[in-house]
Amino acid sequence: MANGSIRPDEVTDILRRELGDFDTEAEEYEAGTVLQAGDGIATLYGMSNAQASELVEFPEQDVEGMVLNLEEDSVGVILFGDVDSVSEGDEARRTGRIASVGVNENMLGRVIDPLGRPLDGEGPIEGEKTVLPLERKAPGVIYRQPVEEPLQTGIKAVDSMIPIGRGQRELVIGDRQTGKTAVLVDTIINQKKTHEEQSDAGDPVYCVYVAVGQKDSTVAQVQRDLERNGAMEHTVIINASASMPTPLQYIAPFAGACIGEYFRDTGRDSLVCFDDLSKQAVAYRELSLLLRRPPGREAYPGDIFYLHSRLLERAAKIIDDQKVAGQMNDLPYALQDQVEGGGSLTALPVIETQAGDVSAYIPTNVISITDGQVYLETDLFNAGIRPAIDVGTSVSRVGGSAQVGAMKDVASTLRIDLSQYRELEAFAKFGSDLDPSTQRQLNRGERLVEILKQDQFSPVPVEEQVAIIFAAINGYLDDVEVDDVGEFEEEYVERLRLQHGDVLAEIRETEELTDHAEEVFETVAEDLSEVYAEDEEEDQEDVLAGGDGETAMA
Amino acid sequence: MSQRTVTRRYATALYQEADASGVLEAIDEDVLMLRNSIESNRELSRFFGSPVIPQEKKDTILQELLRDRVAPLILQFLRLLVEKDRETLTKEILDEYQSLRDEQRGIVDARVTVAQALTDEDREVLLEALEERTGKDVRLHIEEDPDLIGGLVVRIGDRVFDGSVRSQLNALHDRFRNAALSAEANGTAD
Repeated sequence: MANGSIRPDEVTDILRRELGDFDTEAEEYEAGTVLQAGDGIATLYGMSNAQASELVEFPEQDVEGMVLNLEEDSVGVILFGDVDSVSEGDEARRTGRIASVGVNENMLGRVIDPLGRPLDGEGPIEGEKTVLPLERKAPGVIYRQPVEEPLQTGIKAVDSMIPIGRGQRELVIGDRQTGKTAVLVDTIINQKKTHEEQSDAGDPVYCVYVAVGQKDSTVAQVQRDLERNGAMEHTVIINASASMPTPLQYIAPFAGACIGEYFRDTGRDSLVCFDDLSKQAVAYRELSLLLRRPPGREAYPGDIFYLHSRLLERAAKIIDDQKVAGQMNDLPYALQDQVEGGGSLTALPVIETQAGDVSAYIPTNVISITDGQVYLETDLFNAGIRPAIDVGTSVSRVGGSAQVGAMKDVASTLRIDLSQYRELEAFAKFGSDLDPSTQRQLNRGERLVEILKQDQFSPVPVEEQVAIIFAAINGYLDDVEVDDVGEFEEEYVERLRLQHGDVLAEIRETEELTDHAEEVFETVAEDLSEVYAEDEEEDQEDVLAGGDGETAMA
Repeated sequence: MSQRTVTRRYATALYQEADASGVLEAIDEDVLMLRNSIESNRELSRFFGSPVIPQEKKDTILQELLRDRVAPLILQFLRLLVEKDRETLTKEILDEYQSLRDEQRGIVDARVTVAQALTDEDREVLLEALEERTGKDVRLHIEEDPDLIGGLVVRIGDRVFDGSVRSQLNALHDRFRNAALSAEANGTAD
């Protein structure tokens, strides 16, 4: 393919070599017979030594499956691949292998299916692969370390108030069409900085985006967005789209965790986005019901909680101590001599709610499993507040310690100010006579909301976030028209970049907000705010003049 | 309850009772005879399988038919099956009893598929090889299937030993295909 044409004699040569190496040995295997097949599952008779989650092959149909149910005299198997080709009476063979994915670095930039096969038409994935089991126990307590290093999402509202640390599990939850995927994509794009040479943004973060039960068009869109923003080089997309067999949708998040773990256990940082787990839960419900497992609440099987908890438990920050990390529990054989401490796996699972109902079964489950949630709201989205993050109900349970000092300094009061504003906002709707202090708070709140707005695909570096929030918190925006806040922000950051690049760089490197930096921010913000305030006065004068004229005429 | 559970329970009960009363050998013979009869005699198998014949009638027929032919325990056992409405499973229960006894005596069934009929000599060699390999007495069941082209396939329980020409050709086919694929991917090996 690479050099145009293949000469026939070359082919003959290869075939002859293969034939020479071919030794005729009898195969020995354990077989079973299909009793019943359909809807992505098959029941096998025989194969009494099969293990749970072992791979089974159907040689005639060239289909593989995974053992899910071990019953007294039958084995329940979920089928990957061409599900309809398997029928009653077919032969199935044990492979002796546990369902697993081969992982290597060449997967970065590729779109693959949950079994690691390429889907993007760019040819096979080259290189030797480390074969990792889909189901693997999470590292135990002694192999972990508290989450301390930040994972910058580049989203102002998240980094300032719901900080995410490397090794954390942060749920992104919200109705359809509230921008959940946008949060993930922006976060992945923001990791691009970490891959640049001589970057101060921390160790490189390798990203995995797992699409479960989504439209292929959506996945193609995500791929394009990532490519356009230069983020595809450090990202693997696993696609188990809505049209793929249910068993693949069920294992897709596990495959994603596998790839994340490969980076985690080789001492690197990884980010795995599961988009979304509600669809995986639905896929698992389907399989469970077909396998005749008893249904529970909302017809989900009894182990649906364990399904998500064991998956998300695999997010971890591994201990820095090389000796301890090397003894990690349940290490796959293939990884044994590659282990390095200090790696992490950050999980960003997504849950789609129905009409904002977070008290449904799956949302409550996953909320309780994760270390916090980013809650996206339709009303905010429609009001033009994007990302539509509801600050009141969004939390990060461990992220606080993973925030850089400078951000902690400026953002500490942000959350309180905003929630007070929300409270007042509700009251203010009833009457217009408000005392000046209330008026001031409302004013401030409106501007805070304004600065937290952000366009898609435009992550903001942490030092700039600090600068912007500093200005807003300290009231330099109070005299600026709400509509002009965006413009002010742009100009303010631009000036800082041009005139005070050293200050920004210092914050980035030291992660601290010095008095000098504060002074610089103050002067720039003051200057600008005067300019905007003057504009405003002029505008007002115009209006007044116009008004006077009219009254005079009347 | 799955059919297997039921048959196993009845078969075990029959075995234990026979063992306790020391008539195991007689029962083994009777079971063999009954199995053969049911297999060869359609009337008999329909008699057991039919739900139309009333219980009392089945009971009487059984007594008439078998009183002088089999051990009393077997007769009692069959009457019990009738009483418990399990006589439709008679064949399966007897089969289960047989495999239970085989297991105890270390006998395994080997289903051998060959391309061409085996000579007695080959048969002997095969039997010996299989007995050595499994460490058990082997009962051969031989079938012919020209599709194999050559060689043979032996199936003992769930284990399959596939030494047929067909499967080796398949393996070679896969090997060629993979070699061709990887050559294509690497841009011909040179």
